[in-house]
Amino acid sequence: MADFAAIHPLGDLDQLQGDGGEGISLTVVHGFQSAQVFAVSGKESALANKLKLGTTPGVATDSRTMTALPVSPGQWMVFSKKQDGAFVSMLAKKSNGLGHVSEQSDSRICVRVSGPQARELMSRGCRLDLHKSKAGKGFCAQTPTAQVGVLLHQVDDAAVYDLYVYSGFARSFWHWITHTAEQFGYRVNSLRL
Amino acid sequence: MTGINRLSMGGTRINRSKQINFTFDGKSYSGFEGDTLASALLAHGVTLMGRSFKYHRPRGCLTAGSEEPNAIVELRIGVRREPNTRATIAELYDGLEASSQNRWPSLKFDVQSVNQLLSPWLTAGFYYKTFMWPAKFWEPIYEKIIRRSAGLGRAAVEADPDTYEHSHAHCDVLVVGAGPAGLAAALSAAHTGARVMLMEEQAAAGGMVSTLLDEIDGMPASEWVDSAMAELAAMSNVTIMTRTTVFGYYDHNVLAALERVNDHVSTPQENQPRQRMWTIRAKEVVLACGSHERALTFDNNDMPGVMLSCAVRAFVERFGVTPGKRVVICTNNDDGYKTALALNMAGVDVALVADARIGSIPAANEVRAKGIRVETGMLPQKAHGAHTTSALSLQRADGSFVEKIDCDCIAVSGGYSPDVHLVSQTGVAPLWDDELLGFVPDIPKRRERSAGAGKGSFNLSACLTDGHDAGLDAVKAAGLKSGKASAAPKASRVEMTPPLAVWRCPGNGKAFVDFQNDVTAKDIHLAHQEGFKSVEHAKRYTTLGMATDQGKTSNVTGIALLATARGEAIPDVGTTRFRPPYSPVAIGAFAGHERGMEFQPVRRTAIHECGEKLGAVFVETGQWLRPQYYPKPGEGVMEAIYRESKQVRETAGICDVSTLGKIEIFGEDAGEFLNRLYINGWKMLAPGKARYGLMLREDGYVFDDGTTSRLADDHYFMTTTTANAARVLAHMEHASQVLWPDLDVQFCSATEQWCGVAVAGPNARKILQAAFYDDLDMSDEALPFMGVRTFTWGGTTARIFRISFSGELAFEVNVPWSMGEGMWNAIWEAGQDHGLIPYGTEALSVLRIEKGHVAGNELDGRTTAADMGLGKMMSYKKPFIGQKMAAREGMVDAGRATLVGLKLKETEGRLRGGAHLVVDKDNANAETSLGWVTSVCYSPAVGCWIGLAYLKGGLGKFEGQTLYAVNPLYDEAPAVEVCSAHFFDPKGERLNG
Repeated sequence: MADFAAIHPLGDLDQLQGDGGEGISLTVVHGFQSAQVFAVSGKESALANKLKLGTTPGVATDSRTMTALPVSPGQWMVFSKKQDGAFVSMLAKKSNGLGHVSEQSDSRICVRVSGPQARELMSRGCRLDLHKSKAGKGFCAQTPTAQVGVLLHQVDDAAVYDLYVYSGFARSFWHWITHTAEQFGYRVNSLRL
Repeated sequence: MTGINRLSMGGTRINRSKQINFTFDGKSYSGFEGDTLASALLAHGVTLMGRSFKYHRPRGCLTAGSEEPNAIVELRIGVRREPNTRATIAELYDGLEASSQNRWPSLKFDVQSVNQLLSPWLTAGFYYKTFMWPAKFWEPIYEKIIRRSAGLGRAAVEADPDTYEHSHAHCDVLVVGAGPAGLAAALSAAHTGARVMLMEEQAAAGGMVSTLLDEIDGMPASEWVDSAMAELAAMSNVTIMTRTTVFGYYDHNVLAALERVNDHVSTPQENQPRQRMWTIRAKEVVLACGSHERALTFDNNDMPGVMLSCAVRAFVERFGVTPGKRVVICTNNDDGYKTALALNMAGVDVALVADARIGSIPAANEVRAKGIRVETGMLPQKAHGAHTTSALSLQRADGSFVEKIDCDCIAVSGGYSPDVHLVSQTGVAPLWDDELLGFVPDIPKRRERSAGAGKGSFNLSACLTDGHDAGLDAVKAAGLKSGKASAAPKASRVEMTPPLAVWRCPGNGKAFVDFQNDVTAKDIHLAHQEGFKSVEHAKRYTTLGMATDQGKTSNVTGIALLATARGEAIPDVGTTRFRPPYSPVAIGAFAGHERGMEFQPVRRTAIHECGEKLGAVFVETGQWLRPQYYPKPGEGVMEAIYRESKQVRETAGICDVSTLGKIEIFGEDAGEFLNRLYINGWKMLAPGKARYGLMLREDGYVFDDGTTSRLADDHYFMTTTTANAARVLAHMEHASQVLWPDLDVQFCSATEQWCGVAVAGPNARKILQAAFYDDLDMSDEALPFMGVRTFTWGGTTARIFRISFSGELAFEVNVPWSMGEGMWNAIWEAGQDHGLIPYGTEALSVLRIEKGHVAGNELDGRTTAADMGLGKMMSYKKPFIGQKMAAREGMVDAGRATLVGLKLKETEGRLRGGAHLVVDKDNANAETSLGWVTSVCYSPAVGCWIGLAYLKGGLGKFEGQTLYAVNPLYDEAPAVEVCSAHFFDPKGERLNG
């Protein structure tokens, strides 16, 4: 039997080019794997050390192979930096005895927001203070943006944000962000890891 | 060209090189870029701009700002028509079509001005007294008449074509108002490097500074304002927003502001919203909101041509427009002299300055020196004219007539009221200042401070120092370093003579206090006389201080008159509490992006398009869109539902169940955790098995249900109802974090990781076996009822659960979201030889009602497990959430309504949810109701309308008996037979295929 073809929650919406403006760049990131990693009670530090996960709230841990966002004490959302079908099982293997791993590769899409007016675009829906004096590279948070729960990660010192949005909300969120980006002018890109 | 009253000089806000054409009540006019509608009309000598709310008296503009009570107009036509806007802040643009409102047939000749003749009877409380009886006339007759008569304008009928949006901002210091105090505050704060936001309601900064008379730092005030704005604009730590009104001050220093992005153009620029609503989180706030001048209360003081002194000056200075050719100024403070000097400089004839005060008034000397006549101890008595002012009678304080003087404009100043609206919104009761004759802010309750005229500093020099100090104080309070502070801007200090309290100039005619609501001085006395002595009661009885202007020009006078009537001091009367919004905000701005289909986000499943391709009609279930039914060409709703539910029982159906909440649970204590969440036992559930579970709230009522599977020793997979998914997760977080932090249990949502379908019907196994081929053995032995398997299918991980909501042989299959379409297509293809059809939520409901399975309608938050017939599931071997409370007397009362089935006994008609069950349909009321119908459907399996209901006495008392399902909304009361809720296959034999 043939393998099923993966369908992205946005379908081919990221093939549309936007209006060609320079204010905002929206990049749909494809091909990452992700998981929610939990520490067994009392083994939070051991798991963090084993997987090299930072424990400071609101600060992402970035390595060559993965990005980990702390989402709760002893819990992280971990994203692979390249397409790697074995990523989640690798995490599970390394966590054995110290934690548990729930595969979440399909649960969220990633939209990278950048461009000279990225911060202003975010202010239209996000309540957080993303001013450069408050949020730099590695800043991360879970926060509602335009009524949708978003996992936000600032990937650069400049205003570049990876927004992880639940797949069910993907099209609705895309509609909001593209509509809001129209006032700045925007382009759409697709990035396959 | 742009009007007979346009001056050759002045006009800091207009661009004389750009002419703008507009219409008012269909007549064409022209103005200049930068004009407001009011200034452009005044330039053409048009003083009549509206009719009053109750008496339909002719009115012109009283002010030059957002506090305007009179010149209320409709802007634009068609879909963009906007009623109740203030001509004084409506910026002119080419092609603007404005019209007056609350008049018929024309502004000049208004039939309802006959109301003036009835005015002796139309006093405060008229409606309350007159329309009391008969009570049944209120809604159908009286309210309609009153609404038609009242001047509320006409909103556009069509949907608003423009967009609105929200935005969020953070800063160290928010400065509200860009007058001299606000600019000084913004400058001093910004120079320290603090993040400063400066918000100004008007299109330009400067506030009430006089561009003709005032000097700051040795330069004309307008030049200083421009240079301050340029300096601030060049600083990267400063955000300046004009045309932005801060209208609300909420807890935790959250403020709301409305930015009028495109109100000053005919249609918003492409991709731009009309308005943007800001939520600002400020560490510290400087309120430099200025003050509002009050009118003097004398007979006919609402005549067009009577205008506040500061407004006359503003029209001259900002727009190069004089409101009249010959002006009389009546004042009780120094402001009148300032206006006299400005008019004199602009070459306008000032016939007289009448000052209520007597004695030495230094400001008067300067005016006299210009050759202008000044009289002290003189008050206005009565304005004369028809639709505009032609003369003014003057009097002494004792009411004795002095003279009548010809004039076409009367500039009045009854003193200044600091604008304490935002301070009042924070819960601070303002303090009365007997010297200033105004309320000033008391000690702040939030992280704010007032500065300038808003604090009672009416001298320009004090305003600047005040603002400067407030800016630095805010920086310090924000915990930032102030560094080397810049010097405060300076203006020469002017000697000011205190104002004289004049709340009612002697007279017996109509003297208006609140122009917008037609509240006269007499009305306030009448309210007091009739017992409405509290300021809050008097406000509501007279409508003083209500509507778009929120009494900015009238409140203090009204309070003073009430104090006089009560024989008490003004501070003993106090103010009403100001509430947001400070000035009107369109509902569209509050809604922002969230309207129509964007009212809330829409959730789509991975196989939404599979349903679309098969013609699904979707229904909103919470935020999700789910296929409701799949009509064939020519098929109605009921036929489609009938066909789908029938065919599932005959062959097989496939249904999208991705929306069910899915929660992955891990940990050594996960089983114990479930044991405490659910009413039934979980510790003995073997890996590879699923179980139905029921949860209670802490108060003992049923919360949610679903199946939970054990995938491994320390790994469970819970499903919840679609509607309760988030609530259940939050409930579990509470239980884990607060109630039992000692348990080793971790969990997270997996709802959107997995796409799920249910395949139900006698052919379900055959279809899935064909789809899976040899990836999974689907035999009854390999996958028994309530069995769960994880396997690899189509190159991906899949989970299959042998569970059934329909009572048929059924399976739920889950694959990762991205593989959902592949799964649907594979099953669909395999099902073509086995009569597979898609079915929606309606057929799903029919199938579960036929089986007597409870769902959302039965889990309505008022029912117990026993009410649903599930009392036996409650384990007594372990504690669980809700256990104790579920044992309360009322929860176990034998008289509670319990779940029963109903069959419609009549061949015509139908059953309806919500109907009440009674024995005697002719005696149906709340007392005789025995229960209510929760879910209904036409059942193909039973061959009639059936329903589930809660019935007092339940099956034990009423089985086989006939009751009536009364529905007064439809005037129906069909006969029903009470039966078991298990209508179909009560022994559950079909679960095995």
